[in-house]
Amino acid sequence: MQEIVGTSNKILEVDLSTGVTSIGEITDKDRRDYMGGKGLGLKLLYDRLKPGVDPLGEENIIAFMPGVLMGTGAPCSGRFEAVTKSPLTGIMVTASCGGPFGMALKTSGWDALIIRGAAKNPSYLFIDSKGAEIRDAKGVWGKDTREAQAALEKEGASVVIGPAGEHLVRYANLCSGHRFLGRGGMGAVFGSKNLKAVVARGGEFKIVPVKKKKFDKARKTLNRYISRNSITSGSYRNFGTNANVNLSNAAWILPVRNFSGGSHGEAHKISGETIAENYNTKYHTCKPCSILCGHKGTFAGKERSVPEYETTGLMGSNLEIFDPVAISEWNEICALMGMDTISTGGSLAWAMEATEKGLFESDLKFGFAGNISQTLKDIAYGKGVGKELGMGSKWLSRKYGGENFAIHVKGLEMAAYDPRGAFGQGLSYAVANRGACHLSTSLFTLEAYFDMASPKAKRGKATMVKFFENVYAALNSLHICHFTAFAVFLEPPLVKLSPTPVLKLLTQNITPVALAVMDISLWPELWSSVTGKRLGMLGFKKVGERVHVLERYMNTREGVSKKDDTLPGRMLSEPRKCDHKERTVPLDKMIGRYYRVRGYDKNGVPKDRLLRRLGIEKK
Amino acid sequence: MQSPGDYGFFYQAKIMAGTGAMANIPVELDGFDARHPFVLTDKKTSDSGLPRKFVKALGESNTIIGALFDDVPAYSSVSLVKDLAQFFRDRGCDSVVAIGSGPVVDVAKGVNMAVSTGADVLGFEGVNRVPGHLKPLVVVPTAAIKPFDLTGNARIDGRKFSSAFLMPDVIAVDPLMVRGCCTECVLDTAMVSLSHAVEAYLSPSANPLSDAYASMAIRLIAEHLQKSLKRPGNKAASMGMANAAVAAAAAFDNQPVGVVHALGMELSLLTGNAPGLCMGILLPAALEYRRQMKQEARSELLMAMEGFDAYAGTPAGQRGEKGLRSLQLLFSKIAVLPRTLEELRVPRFKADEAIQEALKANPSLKKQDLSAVMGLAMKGVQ
Repeated sequence: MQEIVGTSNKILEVDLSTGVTSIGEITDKDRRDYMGGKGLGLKLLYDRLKPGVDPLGEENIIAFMPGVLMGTGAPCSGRFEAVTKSPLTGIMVTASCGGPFGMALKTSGWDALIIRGAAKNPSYLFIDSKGAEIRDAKGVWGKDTREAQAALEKEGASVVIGPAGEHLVRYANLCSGHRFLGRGGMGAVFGSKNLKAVVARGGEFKIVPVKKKKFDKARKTLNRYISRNSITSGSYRNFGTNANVNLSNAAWILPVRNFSGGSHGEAHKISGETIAENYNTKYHTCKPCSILCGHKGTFAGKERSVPEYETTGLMGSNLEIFDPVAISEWNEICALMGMDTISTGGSLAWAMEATEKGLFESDLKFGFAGNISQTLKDIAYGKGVGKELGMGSKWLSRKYGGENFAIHVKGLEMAAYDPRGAFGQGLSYAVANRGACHLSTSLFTLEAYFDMASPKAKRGKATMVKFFENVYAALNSLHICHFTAFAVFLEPPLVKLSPTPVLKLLTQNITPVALAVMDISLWPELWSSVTGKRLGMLGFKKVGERVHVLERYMNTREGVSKKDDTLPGRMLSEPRKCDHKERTVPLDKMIGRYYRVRGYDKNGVPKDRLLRRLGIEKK
Repeated sequence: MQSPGDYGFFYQAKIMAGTGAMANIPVELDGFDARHPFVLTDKKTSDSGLPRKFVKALGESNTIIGALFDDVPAYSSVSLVKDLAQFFRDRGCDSVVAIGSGPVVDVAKGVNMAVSTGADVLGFEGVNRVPGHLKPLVVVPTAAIKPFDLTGNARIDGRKFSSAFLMPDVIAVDPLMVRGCCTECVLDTAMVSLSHAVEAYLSPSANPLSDAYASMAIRLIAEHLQKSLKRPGNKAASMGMANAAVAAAAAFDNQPVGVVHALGMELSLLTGNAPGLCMGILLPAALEYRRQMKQEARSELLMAMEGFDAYAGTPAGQRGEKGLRSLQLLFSKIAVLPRTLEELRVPRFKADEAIQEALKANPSLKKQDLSAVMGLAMKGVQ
């Protein structure tokens, strides 16, 4: 087997309209400035994608980006990133997935795959080290994600769409193995291009780090941190991300009844602990992975993936349904149809409330599980009421009213953490580049789970949001699992040995200093040991900042500004009964500060000075 | 002036403008046999102390505020209307006073429908579905007031309600209330008022009365816009702009919806930009389109824009063209107004969606006209 030492830096570019394939190269400057994964994907699209194109039009481009760690055996590195313009939000969307396609693409010798144009007939793309071939997808079009992958299995590992993508459901996702590029409707982008799947042969190259010893040292340290951290080797490993249910319920950030409440007496029934106890759960993870948060279990005699916390929150408590078997069934249907469970749950919750208020006609009701399976299939196939539900809650509320309780930001439905219980998370949702995304900062963990920042304080939140946005943007460019952050942030001695109240005092009152001394050097060490290029902690954070600001700048070219950096009306004007003091998110007071620390102007647009400092050429 | 043909005109509101206008509200309410108004406003207006000025203005009158709700959110919802209607009944109120603009007035109209009829407001969605006269409604405009607020239209939870019975009974334009807004707010209001007035003026079914209101609105805007943009707190300029909004409302309510309003509202909903920004770009494009289509310009536009001397000093055949040029000059002087929809970052596919939505909402408009105006607005008028 041939070896790739470090990175191949090869870009494979395919035009589905013309069938022309070309090969390009990632420049050394782009590699240093954007690392890989999300950052590099955004840069490649920035160079190619004109602002204002229709996300479902031929001109839209989608890029697949395995990170530099992929194939090296680094812990939790079996993830790849995709970047495109979202049909749900109309702005840039990036998503990450732990499926086998990333490894196959990387070991076919490609560091980036760019797809543009649209095929005339249903097609799929076959990739190996020689290039790409557009093949007829007659045999797989119409199949669900599992059947489609099974049909293409002999050719390699694939990323596919289900019926939802084919019917242009605005939050259709892409599926690889049993993992998903979940958010923003990438599946509909595939559908609009008549593209059922991309299959990569894989296994043609072996990936070898440039500095093997340094790599091994960093890998071992990270593994050690992961194995001693109570979340990565404890709650997540044992109960999956559903371990968050009890934590969120206790902290009043669990979505209940379309985010009307923050906790519920029956929440324990859908918690990770209860599911592990009653449904014979086993590991079912990305590869390679040291955390093992993915699980499958036996529900009503059928083996299914255990729903992630977001699915449990949005399709369980948020619909006032606390039946793990029903939720696992809907999770399965969404997986087979290829639909994002967060946006699906958010749209269903809107429909339930709008129906209750007489704004929308449907049979959907809070607490009633009987018709949801059929509704999910109707959404995927664009039938009846499902056709409109497939457009997302922003579209629905614009047509039927109920914008106040359409729980989205910039068109992307909110993840399962109510920001009225964690104000920093509220700011983070409002300003996150892709919409109401919990992965932009995951600040709720510090505020609501670890008690390291006061959840109802405004002080320091702008700085915290900026810091974590930069770090997570860099993580997604590395690319490595987000959950390694628990280990990397919490296990180094300085944090580990400091009492929590002291940490809280520091993060709240001298935020920039507290964040600056956090030791995150492991991540840049991994990147530099694989690529052989120097990168320190400051450089790593600067790459993160560059990636985040580039994405913001690309979004501002699509019309995003301060008017879009907001929260659903419910979060700003409806206090919850579960809070001691009835409060809503004081967004206005935090957002100006955030723009200042970020270097944006008053309208939320990155200033020229900031772009120059980060080396982003204005277009 | 056009020779008056057959026409109808209806604008029921009693308009009181000037210092102390609010002090007359008790007398006006008394005329309706109402003494316990339900006062509605929003947080921003409340924080700026305007409701306190209103309460003070009531002075020693026999009007006692039945209830004051000062937290109308930026989005008007049916459920809020229902809650407030119950509040209205519980407190024994007999009339509605809205201090503010947009959702405050929409919610006030919704509450009025609910309490006057005792029925679910959703049943009144659409055109002319309100069965009869409602309780007295007083609107006290603030600087953000739009002509749309002062008509018989309301938008609640994204649903449109249209009826002559929704029109305010009394509009009190008081200098205490209309001052102190920001440049963006002034621009938004001015561009909506100007668009409504010009579209009403150039409408094929324009009549002498709608002309009178429209030309007054145009004249007031032409006179006060620059000063108001420069100093949003200026008393005379603010009053001029508020009066222009009232006059534009009367003209707008008596003419069919025009291209600029239809497209501007849809674009605003789709992109989140202020309606005034969208209309401010679309209006010059619509005027240019008229010119390209060789549609005759109304000569009285010159009178509205530049006054009688300029009108009299211009040969009759050139007045229409000069009036349009004068209007375009007004736009060119507004430095804070983007010139094109591209500058506002409106993507082409969103513009196309806005055309479709505008056609759905206003079937009488022609797709060809909408597309042409949108096309010009995307690139801008030279």
